[in-house]
Amino acid sequence: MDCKKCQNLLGQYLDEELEGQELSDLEQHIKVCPDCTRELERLRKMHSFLTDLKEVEVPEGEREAFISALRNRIESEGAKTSRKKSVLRPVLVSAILVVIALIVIVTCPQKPADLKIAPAPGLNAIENMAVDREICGALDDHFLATSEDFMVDTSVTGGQALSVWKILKETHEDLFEPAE
Amino acid sequence: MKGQNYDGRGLSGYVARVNKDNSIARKEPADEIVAVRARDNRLVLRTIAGDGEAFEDLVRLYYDRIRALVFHHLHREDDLDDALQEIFLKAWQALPNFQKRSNFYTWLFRIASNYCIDRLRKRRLELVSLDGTEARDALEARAHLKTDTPEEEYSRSERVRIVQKAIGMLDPIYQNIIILREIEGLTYDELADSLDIEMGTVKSRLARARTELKKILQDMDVI
Ligand SMILES: [Zn+2]
Repeated sequence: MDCKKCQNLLGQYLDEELEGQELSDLEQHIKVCPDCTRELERLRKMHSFLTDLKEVEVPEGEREAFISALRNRIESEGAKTSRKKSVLRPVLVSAILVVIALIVIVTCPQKPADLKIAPAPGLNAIENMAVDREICGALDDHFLATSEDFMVDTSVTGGQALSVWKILKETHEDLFEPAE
Repeated sequence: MKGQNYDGRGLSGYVARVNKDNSIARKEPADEIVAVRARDNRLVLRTIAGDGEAFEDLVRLYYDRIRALVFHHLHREDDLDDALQEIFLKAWQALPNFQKRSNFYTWLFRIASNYCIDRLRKRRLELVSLDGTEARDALEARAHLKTDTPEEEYSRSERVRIVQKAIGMLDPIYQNIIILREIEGLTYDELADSLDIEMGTVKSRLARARTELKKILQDMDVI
């Protein structure tokens, strides 16, 4: 390894982001090269100086004062723009419901062994599945954890996924009570 | 130890990392990071559902870190509150479109970083129009003014001030990655996420930023 390459990698070395051949080549080079060793020491020093900058104290009470100022700001912004509610077409809703329910069921940690997935498509399928108290109990808790993967896969936004979740809760309110 | 993907339930977190000199460490174990992510995602979804208190909790959780980030970019105390209001308001407005490809906090760091970089660029333009010279040249010239004090005699607070000044002389992009990595302690994965850039770019940008900062500090006889 030459000095140029070595010095380029010194930061990654300090960050412990090097491995394998690159790491052993670099360590080998540092052992025999005083220039690069000096550079490494400079970087170490710089890092420790930068660490000193971490200590920025937040004055007492500042955070809560900020939050209440922000609350007022958001309330006035909200009044101005009156947030758009995402209106989903029923077909899309049922399609999303099916996907969510499948994801929840597949990834559900307390998956009931005798789970039967109803063959009917759309909302009916979900309603059939939701009758199972065990699924619903887990659903409430588990939905938020699994929804992020769901959103990544299908490009559904948090707002859309949440409306579906709310519909599920409204239509199956009793089932979201924790099972005895 | 390298950052690793935690694959439980399809959520990814990072394993704790501690450097040889026991610094730039992320001490949270992977399970804890996954728990943080789940907690934040709940708050995000509740915010979108119209629960204002959920958003306040998110602000409460990340206020100090975002405040530090902004402080190290902008430095002026009188800009701080204004900047933070803008950043959190932006986050609140953008939240319904948040597709959770990243953690909430890396997403928030991105909003804050973009805001700060933008502000720094505007400030430099103002500097240029004020005195008619290239702001960067002026700043670099200052960097070459060597201080008379040998490094051992700096008090800690003096040194902090000098290092802050040196960071301020970097290009805003480099300034940003130094702050995110060295002061906020983000991992390389989190940097890629926050900056929306490839891992290769994270490595090259960080190396470049460190080289530049090292040069400035050497010119100032600090290291
Ligand atoms: Zn060398």
